[in-house]
This record gives sequence, C-alpha cells and structure tokens, in this order.
Amino acid sequence: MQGNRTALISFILVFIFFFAGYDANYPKAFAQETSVFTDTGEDSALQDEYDEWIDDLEEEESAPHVRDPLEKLNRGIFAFNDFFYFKVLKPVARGYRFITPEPVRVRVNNFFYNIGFPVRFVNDILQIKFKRAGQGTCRFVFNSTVGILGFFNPAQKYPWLNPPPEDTGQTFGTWGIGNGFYIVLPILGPSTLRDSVGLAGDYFLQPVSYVKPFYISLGARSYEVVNKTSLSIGEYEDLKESALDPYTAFKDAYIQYREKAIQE
Amino acid sequence: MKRQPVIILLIFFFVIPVSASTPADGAFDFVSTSVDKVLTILRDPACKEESTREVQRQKLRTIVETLFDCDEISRRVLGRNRKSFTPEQMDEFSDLFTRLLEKIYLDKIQKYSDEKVIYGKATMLSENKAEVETNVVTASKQIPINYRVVYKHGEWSGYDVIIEGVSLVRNYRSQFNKILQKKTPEDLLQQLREKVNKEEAPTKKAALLKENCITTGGEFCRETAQL
Repeated sequence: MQGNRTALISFILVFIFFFAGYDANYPKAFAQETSVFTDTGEDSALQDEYDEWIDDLEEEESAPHVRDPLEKLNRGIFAFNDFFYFKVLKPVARGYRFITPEPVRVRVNNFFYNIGFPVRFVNDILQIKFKRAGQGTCRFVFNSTVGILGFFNPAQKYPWLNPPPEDTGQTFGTWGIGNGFYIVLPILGPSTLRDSVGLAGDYFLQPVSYVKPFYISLGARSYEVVNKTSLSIGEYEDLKESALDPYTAFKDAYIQYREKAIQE
Repeated sequence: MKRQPVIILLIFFFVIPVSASTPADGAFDFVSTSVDKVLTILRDPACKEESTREVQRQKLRTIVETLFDCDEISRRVLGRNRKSFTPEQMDEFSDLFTRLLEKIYLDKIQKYSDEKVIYGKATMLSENKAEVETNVVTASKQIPINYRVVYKHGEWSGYDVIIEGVSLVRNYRSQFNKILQKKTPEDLLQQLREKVNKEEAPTKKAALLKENCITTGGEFCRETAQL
C-alpha cells in the first residue's frame, strides 16, 4: 500500500511537472490553435478569421508611411542615377576591380570606414550611447595602430568592438524627428528630408571634408565610392531585377533599412 | 513494486525532452536544418559542374518549398488588396509570384556557395511566430538574413525573409500597393507574367518560340528568323 501511494504521488508530481513545463513553454494559443485545426469542418470560416487576423498584424507591422510629394521629380532623378550607375560608375568600378586585387580593395574600404570615426563618435554621444562611443573609440585606436592606419581590421574578430555605425540622420531619428518626405538625391541616391540634412551634418564630421584643396577632398570621396562599388557590383542590379516597380522597391528598402538602423 | 522506479524513470524520459525544447528552439531547428540542407547541396562537388546545375536547382527547389509557405507569402504581399482578386486570379498570382521568388532566391544562392552561415538566436515574435537570425559571411562583409516562421497545422513554415533589415514581404507589398493604386489585378498579373517569362526565358525560349509558331502561323516565324 505504502509503495502504491508513493507511486501515485510520483505520478501526480510528474504530471504536474509535465503540464507546468508544457504551459510555460508552449503558450496557450499555441495549444489551442493546434487543437482547433484538428477539429475539421469549419475550415473555411476559420481560414477567413485567420486571414483577417493577419491583416491586423500587417497593419501593425507596416512601415510608417513616408510621403512622396516630389514623386515625378524623384522618378526623374532615379532614372538619371540608374543611367549614371550603368554608364559611368559601374564601368569605372569594373575597370578598377580588374586592376586591383580584392584584398587591396577590402583594405581601402577598411581605411575609409576607420577614418569616418568622428561621425560615429559624435553621433553616439548625441544619442547618449556612451558605451558605444567607448567601443567605437577602442575600435578606432586598435585598428589605427595594430591594424596599420586602419587598412586592416583586426577588431573584426571581437563582436563587442563592432557597434552598429551611427550617423546624423539616425541621431535626428532617435530624437523623434520623422522622415519628412522622400527625396532621391542626384548620384547619392535615396534619402529623406531628415536624412539629407543629416548628410550635411555628416559632411562636417568627415575628416576627408577638411582636406585642402577641395578637389583632392572630392577625389578622395569619389575614390571611396568607386572602391565601395567595386565590392558590391551586382547588388543594385539584383534588387532592380527582382522588382516590379524598381522605384518603389528602392524607396521602401531605403526606408526599412533606415528604420532598422535607427532602432539599433 | 520494484518496477515503479523504472516506470517513473521512463516517464521522465518522455517528459524532459518536451519541457526542455521551447517553441523558439523548434523554429531554430526548422530553419537551421533547411539552411544546412541547402548548404550541403551547394557545396556538393558533384553539383559544381555546369551540366548538373539544373539537377542541383531541382534539389534546392524542393527544400526551398518546404522552407517557405508560398501561399502564405502570396497572401501577405497582397494584403488587403487581395479582396479585389477573384479566386482564379489569386491562384494565378500565387503561382506566378512563387516562380518569381524561386527564381530570384535560387539564382542568388547558386552564386554564393563558399560563404559561411552563422546562426544567431531565435526569438518569438508572437504566440506562434518566430524570427531566426542568421549571418552570411562573405570576404568583405557580413549580411544579416533573418527568417520569419509561423507555426501552423502542426508544423513550421517560413513567411518572410529579412535581409539587412529589409523585409521581402513588405518590400513587395509596397510595390503591389503602388501598382494596384492605378491598375487592375489583371494588369498586375500581366506584368508578373511578362516578368516571370522574361526571367525564365533563356532556358525556355526555344520551346516557347516553337509553340508560338504553331499557334500563330508563319508570320511569327519569319519575324523571329529576322531577329
């Protein structure tokens, strides 16, 4: 008898354990949903309900609507940028890629990223992200010394040394300033009113901007762009190819991308 | 009497695995197994040659089809707009859009075979939805690719991919919204048809041309001969 009682108690305990575990890990709706779907018969009604439920979710998920009052002009500039990419930037970047081995191009890219440190640092501070400002500083010092002027990227191995980069547009975003409206800038590409003002801020924080005379500064910036493009030939083409309305696809991608960057 | 500890032990054996795996783990396992399968096929040296490319593609297609629920994705990209679609139009849309996505996705992954995939964490987004983070590491950078999966009818399936913070579903939805503001579902379908056929053209062009010759008679043939 004694043995039987212990067995019973153990069974109960085990079952409580079982359901406690089940309940904690599988939320109620989870269990409900599966049981509902095994009940056949009202499938179509359920399906409709389910669809509407998805609609609600979509509503929550969907991007904050960014107005596009300059759409006609923007589409024109978009077409020009497309032309510029295929006729000027891409051929130049391909020629450059042909004569420059990939490791060199990666290092040049590292160098330019490294000297953009003031932009990230000042914006970390403006967003009260002191820890990141510290991490960014460590990265800058480490890569500038051990990484020989930033051409190498030894910091890459340490995730904590790679905080997501911040810029002035993102700072405005974290301050609660909205996108304003969508703008396509000549050559620079998709932007918004807020981010265009941000770009001006970034310009003043970029060391390259202070190089004199101005044409050397401009040359350096252009070289940075060509070098970067040489590492990502095909990305623009892929996104354009996969789109049914490329203008809208790029607009939406830009807005989603910036939203994510501001959240980080 | 002596058997009881054994029974209890046995019960524990059944219970512990259940309580140890959370829904997020399930989502993670679902995504990682599928992605691992894709990687195995991509890295299979037998599949590297040009001649086996189509075979490889077919294999990849079956895995991709289990990874993504294309009907769900089609519904989501249309959003509220699907109310203006008839069931037949909806079916055709689903079919065309699936083909377009497959084409884009397979082209992309067949290009990248030597990249490493690092799995991140899986988080529950809601009661039955989860997001699984992965990072694709290339020579010059890391590309974060997150899979969104939903638990439905007793299994997981993917309903969105987020590449560098850009949701594929949201991106297509914004395009379809834009197109449907001014055009009818039929126009959209026509645009999709042209897109898919253009994309699939290189392999099917010859067959298509032949078909057209039979249906439209000699004129078309002469035109194409001139081309």
